[in-house]
Amino acid sequence: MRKMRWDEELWRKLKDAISPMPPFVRQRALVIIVEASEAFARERGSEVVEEEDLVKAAKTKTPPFARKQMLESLAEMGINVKPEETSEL
Amino acid sequence: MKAGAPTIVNFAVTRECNLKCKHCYSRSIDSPHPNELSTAEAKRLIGQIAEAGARLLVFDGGEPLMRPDIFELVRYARVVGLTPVMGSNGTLITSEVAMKLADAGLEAIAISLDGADAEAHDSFRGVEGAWDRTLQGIENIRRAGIPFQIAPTLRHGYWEYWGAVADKAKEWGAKAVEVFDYVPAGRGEESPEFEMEIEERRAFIREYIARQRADDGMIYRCIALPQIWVEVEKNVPEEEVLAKFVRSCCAAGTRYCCVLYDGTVYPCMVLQVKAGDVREQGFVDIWQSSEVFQILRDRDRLEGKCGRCDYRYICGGARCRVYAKTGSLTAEDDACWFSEEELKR
Repeated sequence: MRKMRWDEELWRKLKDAISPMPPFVRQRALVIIVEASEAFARERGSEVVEEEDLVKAAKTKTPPFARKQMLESLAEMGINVKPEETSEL
Repeated sequence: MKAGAPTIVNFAVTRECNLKCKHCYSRSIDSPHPNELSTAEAKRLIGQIAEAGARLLVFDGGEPLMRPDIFELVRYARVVGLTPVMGSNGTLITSEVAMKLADAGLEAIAISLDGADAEAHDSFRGVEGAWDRTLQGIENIRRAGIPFQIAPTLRHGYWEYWGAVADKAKEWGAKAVEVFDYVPAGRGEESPEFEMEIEERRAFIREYIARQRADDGMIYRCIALPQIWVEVEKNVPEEEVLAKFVRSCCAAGTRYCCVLYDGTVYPCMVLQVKAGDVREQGFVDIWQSSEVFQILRDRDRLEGKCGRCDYRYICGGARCRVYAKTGSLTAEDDACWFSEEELKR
C-alpha cells in the first residue's frame, strides 16, 4: 500500500487510529489517505511522509462520512490536527 | 485531551429483565427501577446523545424489550440521526416483535448466548428454557432481516465453548461475534470465581486470532480484554491486521460511555464509576467535562506498568477490572502478562 517511506512512528499512529474502524470502511479510508499523504509529501519535495502530509490528507481527502472520526482518532493518538478545527467539523 | 464525539453510547433503558444472569452488570431484576427515566426524559437524552455527535446508540438494560416504549425510543433515535442497535437476551423476540423492531428502524441487534447447549446457557442465565427461546428469537430476527451478532461471555473453566457458539453464529448468518471476558462488576461481584485465569485468557486469544485470520466473512470483537490487541500486533502480519482485525476495547470514556435507566452515566457498563447524572446535567456537558472521563482520556496518567507501556493508547489495561479490584481508574492492570520488554514497540 505504501509507495514512499513514512516516518515509522507516524505510520504506527495512523494504524492505531484506524484500528477501531470496521475493516471495509478502514480499507477505503486508508488507501485514500496513504495516496494523498504521499502526494502531499512529494509536492513539498520530501522523500518521507511526515505528520503535516498526513494531517493535510486527512482534512482534505478523507471521505466526508469518515472525516470527523478520522481527525478525532488521529488527535487521540497524539497527532496535532489543530483542535480548534476538529471541534467544528 | 479534548473530547472527541462518542462513537457508541449504551442506554440501559430499564432494570427489568426476565432472566437472572449471574454476571448481570446492571443487577437487573423482574421489576423496573422506581426512578427510571420517563419516555420524555429518555427522548431528551437521546436527542442530547445525537447532539454530542455519537453515531451508534445501543439500547440494552435489563432486557430492553421489557420497556413498553422501546419501539418509540428506537424510532426516535433514528429521527435524531443516530443508528439504533440493541443488546438483548433474545427470549422475547417473537416474529411480531422482530417485525416491529425492523419497522422502528433498528439497524442491528446483539444476542447473548452463554453456552454451547441449553444446560450451560440456562444455568448461567438463571432461567430454564431461555436457550430455546433465545434460539427462536435469533431465527425471528433473521427472518425480519435485521443484521445480528452473537455475544458469548467467557468464564473460568468454561470458555472453550465460544468456538462452538461462533460456528453456530456463522451457520445462522450472524455478522459478528462479540466475546465478553467476565468482569466482576454489578451482580458479577458476587461470583468472582467466574473470572478467567491468565493462561485461559492467553489460550482464548490464540484461538481468537487463529479464527479471525482464517475467516474473512465474520468480524470477531472482544470486550474487557484490551491486551488482545497487543497480541494481534505481535503475531499477525500488518496487512492482515488492517484487512481483518477490529480493536474494540478499551474505549471507556474516550469513545464510549453508558447511561443507566435512572440517568447515571458510567464510562462503561462494566466500569461503574459515576461520571454524571443526566437529570442534573446535560449529556453533552457530562461527556465533555466529567472529571472521570478526563482521567480516562489521559493515558499518560496511567500508573505502574500500564503507564510505562508503549501500547497504552490502544490498550491501557482492562480499566473495568482494575477499578473493580482496586477502586482506582489509573492503577496498573496486574493481570497483564507481558514483560516490560515485550511492551516496547
